[in-house]
Amino acid sequence: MSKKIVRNMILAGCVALLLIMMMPCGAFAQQGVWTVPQPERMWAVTDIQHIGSLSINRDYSHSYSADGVTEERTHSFNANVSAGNSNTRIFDVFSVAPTTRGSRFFVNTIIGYNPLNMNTSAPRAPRLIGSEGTYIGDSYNGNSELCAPAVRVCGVMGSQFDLKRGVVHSTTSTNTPMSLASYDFSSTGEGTVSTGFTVVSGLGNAQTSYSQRIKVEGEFERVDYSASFNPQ
Amino acid sequence: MRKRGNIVVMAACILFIMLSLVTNSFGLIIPPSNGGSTQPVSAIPPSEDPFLIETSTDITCSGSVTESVSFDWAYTNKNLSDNTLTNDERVAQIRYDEHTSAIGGYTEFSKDFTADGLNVPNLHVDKKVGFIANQSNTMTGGLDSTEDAGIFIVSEGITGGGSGTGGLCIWAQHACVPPSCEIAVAGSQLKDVTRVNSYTITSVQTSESPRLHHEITAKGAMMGDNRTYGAGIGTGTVSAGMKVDVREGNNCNNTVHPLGSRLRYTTISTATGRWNSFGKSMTYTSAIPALQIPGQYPLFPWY
Repeated sequence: MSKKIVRNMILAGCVALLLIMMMPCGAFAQQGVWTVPQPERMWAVTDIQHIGSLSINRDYSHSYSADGVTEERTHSFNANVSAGNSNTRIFDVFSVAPTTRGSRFFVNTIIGYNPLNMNTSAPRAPRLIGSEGTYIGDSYNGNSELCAPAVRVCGVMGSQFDLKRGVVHSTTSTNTPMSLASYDFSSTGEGTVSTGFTVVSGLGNAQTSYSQRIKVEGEFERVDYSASFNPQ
Repeated sequence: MRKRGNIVVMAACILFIMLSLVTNSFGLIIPPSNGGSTQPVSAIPPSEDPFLIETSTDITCSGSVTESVSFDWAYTNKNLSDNTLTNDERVAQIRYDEHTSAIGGYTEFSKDFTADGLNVPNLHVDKKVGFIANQSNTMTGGLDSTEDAGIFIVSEGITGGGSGTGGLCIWAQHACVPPSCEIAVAGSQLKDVTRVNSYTITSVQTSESPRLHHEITAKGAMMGDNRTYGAGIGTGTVSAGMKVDVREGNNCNNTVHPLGSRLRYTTISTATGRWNSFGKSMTYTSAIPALQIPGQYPLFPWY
């Protein structure tokens, strides 16, 4: 009996070791896209290192309504590199996970772009052009037992970029129920970048709106932007 | 087994006592509301939708930078949607707008924005802009930056006295604080500026003693070898100013509101040409009376 248990344990250990060796190494060594959808749960990792033209797109949306909560998330991302001898590196993490009342949404994208041996001031020089944006819309019925009032929140955050060379990095994170929405954007290089954040919230006795827009053109050492909205 | 259960219960009790002690010693107990007794009537407690917005912006660029912000918070102790001023209703609004456009030059821009619907100041903004136009672009390159902040407070007055235990004070019952309207706006502007190093601070609050503050310090800019700014001559136009308009009634009649007092204040300062430094600081603090409710608690912070 004990020999059988020991044998089974050794077998299980070998299988676990094999899985550990295969899964992460195989996954993270791979360059490309892989996706694991689950009911109400999704994540995707993109890791591309590339020379030449490139196009990448993503569109996501969900609408969730239950237990006095209505939640909407819409997200899009696209990046294009026109033909030419240029080096592009993209690393992107996208995830949506369910919570007790809604979801946790997270996107982190880093793009580096370097045209090799190219005169960036030439009119037909290749460029990295793209945009990313996220819309959040939340509505909560009041809960007198929890002393939680009814709330409605809508927000938009995102960026556009048209780079002759450089790096863009953005992180979007939202949590439900109503804890925090945050957005971070940073860039360095040459070209044009725009970013911003807009949020509107309100209920019976209060209305709040905030909007910020930033556009930078030319050669920039640093564009760092950070925004967060927290219903307290 | 029973002995182990007792140990667990004892450990839980000790943990609870320790947590209570820590909470007390660090002053983490939520202070009881004093019913706004020491606050002017025009202070309007936070709404049921408190929020916190924080943004941080840092830009260093040779080229062009445009940035704009718009913030608007309106709330009431009654219903904002009915579009009428009911008995004992008080409405407050904080607005902030800023637009910066730096074309054809070297720009260093940083800005920290905080809007807090629960704590004061309800709005705080620090903004720094350094700009030097390119030599070849002095005819077209320049910096324009405008910043406006304002508070708008409308009170129907108080006729019913205070609330809470303090409101039971015999002299606070059926108190009369007349209706009032307070409008205060302040801001500053840089226009067609080719060299500047400016710093502005904006601070606004309405949920406690209403107050509006804006200040600007602008100096000339010079680019050093390591791209840092030193002293220099500022060129262009810089302005800063404030407007205040306060009206107060002289009774608490709900149907007739005779005007009891009116206060107006306007200031604007403008410098055009070449300037070494420009500084202006402006503050408005509400003096609308408070309910005469005893309000000494807490002792600290000491005023």
